Amino acid sequence: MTWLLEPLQFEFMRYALTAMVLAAIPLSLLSCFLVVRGWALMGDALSHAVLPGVVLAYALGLPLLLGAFLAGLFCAAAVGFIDQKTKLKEDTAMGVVFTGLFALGLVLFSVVHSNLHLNHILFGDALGVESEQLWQIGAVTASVIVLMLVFGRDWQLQLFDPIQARTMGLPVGRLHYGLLVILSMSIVSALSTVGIIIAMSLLILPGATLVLMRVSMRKMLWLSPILGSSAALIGGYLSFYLDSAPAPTMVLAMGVQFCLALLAQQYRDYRVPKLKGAP
Amino acid sequence: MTELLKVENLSVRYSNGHQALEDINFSLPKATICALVGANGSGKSTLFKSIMGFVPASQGLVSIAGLPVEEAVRQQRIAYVPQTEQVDWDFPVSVNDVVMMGRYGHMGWLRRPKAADHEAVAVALEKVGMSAFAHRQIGQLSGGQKKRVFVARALAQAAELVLLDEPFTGVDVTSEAQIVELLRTLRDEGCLIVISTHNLGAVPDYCDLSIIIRQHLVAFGPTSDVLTAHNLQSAFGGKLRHHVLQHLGGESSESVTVFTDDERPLVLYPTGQDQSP
Ligand SMILES: Nc1ncnc2c1ncn2[C@@H]1O[C@H](COP(=O)(O)OP(=O)(O)O)[C@@H](O)[C@H]1O
Ligand SMILES: [Mg+2]
Repeated sequence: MTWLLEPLQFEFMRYALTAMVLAAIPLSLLSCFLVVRGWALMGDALSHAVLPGVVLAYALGLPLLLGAFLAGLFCAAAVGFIDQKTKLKEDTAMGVVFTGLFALGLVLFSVVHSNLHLNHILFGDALGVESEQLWQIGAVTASVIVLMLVFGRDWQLQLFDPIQARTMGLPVGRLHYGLLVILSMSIVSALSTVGIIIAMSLLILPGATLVLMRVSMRKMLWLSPILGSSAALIGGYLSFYLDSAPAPTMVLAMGVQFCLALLAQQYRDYRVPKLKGAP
Repeated sequence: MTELLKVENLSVRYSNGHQALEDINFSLPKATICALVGANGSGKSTLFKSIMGFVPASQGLVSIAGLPVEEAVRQQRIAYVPQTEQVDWDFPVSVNDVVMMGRYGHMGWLRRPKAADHEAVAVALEKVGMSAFAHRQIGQLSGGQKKRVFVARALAQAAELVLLDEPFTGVDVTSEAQIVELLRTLRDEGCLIVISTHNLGAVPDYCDLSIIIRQHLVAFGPTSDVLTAHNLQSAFGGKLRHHVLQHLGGESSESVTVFTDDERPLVLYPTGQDQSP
């Protein structure tokens, strides 16, 4: 049992574990929608697109998270605008806006002389989390959970069958942008802990694992935060003992979950024809 | 006769300049089944979409029980089964979940189903004969089975106005008969059902009123007055298979007119009354 308690003696480990779990929950919830809808790359793109917001906020002396959030909102609005006003497909619109913003971020980054660590933005700094940040992350996580409880089913309907959503008088526009807003919020809140690249894998892996397990959307929404936060804990502990960086170790843990689900699915597919063929 | 659906001077022009509907006028009462007949491209789907407000009207008004469409939609008064579902077939929802979505409007804002909702879903699935498939993922059904599930969802929604855009495509004859039976019960419960179909022969069996369109309104009224040789010819032009048969058994040289747009032909006897073989 000592191995369980030992890392918890260190304040930075307690903070890192809490922050990783809190950051993982909203991202893994949203991963269900993104993966099923084939928007896996949207999380990727959105997480890169917040870069110019971060750099500009730094240059203007504003909180970095505020800059990132505003950049996320701008993205979402720009994508919606292009999608509605042109014949381009939504994923094309995303590609245009997001790569453009990431490039802008990189240019700004080299122009604005800063002692920002690009590494910290890209990979996060879980071990440097402070208690004030924990509150920020916690607030975002709590609001995403509440919003999912209230609007989760409306979002499901809208993603599955937008015509029926309109037939039933759901506010489709507000739901669409609302989803993009909580997506930006969740990514931004994860940035300081796990970084852009890891946030992206949290937005893909839990959903992908559950799709392999062939569970219904309702169960996916229950199981994904469990997968995400357990990976955060396992990754956190492993990193302590392996002396590795926590966030990438967490991604490895999710990778293992994914591989197990893949094996289980292969096993099931292998057994089914046999059962049918049995006399 | 209380009007439920009223369409006045409705014109629709698509953004590419195509005038899909021009000056359509009709009004339909409760407790009625109304057929919407027309050739491909005559504007049937466009009419449904503009009633729902999905396609903006360039001119004209649609009202439902005296309310503007948006208000009627908000009050869950309309159910609509589009011709082609724009649905994500890989979405991990079961048949049961899909039909339950029709009940959202009747649930509280947390959308937690109550016993009455589960009951309504089970009854709707039973009525379309899809109970055995309740736990299948929605993509793992045949085309006709999918259609029946969406009809079940429209039923579960318990709307007053039900719009069905070619619900019989891909549906076999038994299921079609089942759905028709269902529409009759709905009518008896006071619903107005507007249904577009190419199965002309069946229309006189269950449709009280008919509308024929070809961009304009060709004819509107009781089915027996509307489905005449003259109206069908002006609606379909040469597109309809049309045979004039001599009465072989009879002494007279009266002829029988047969129209077919689909598998079941419409037979018009000279007396004006029509029968289908
Ligand atoms: N989105 C659209 N943009 C432009 N024209 C359209 C569009 N949808 C349908 N049309 C045209 O409008 C006419 C009516 O189409 P539709 O209502 O689908 O006919 P129906 O359902 O009777 O077969 C057709 O000529 C079709 O080509
Ligand atoms: Mg059509």
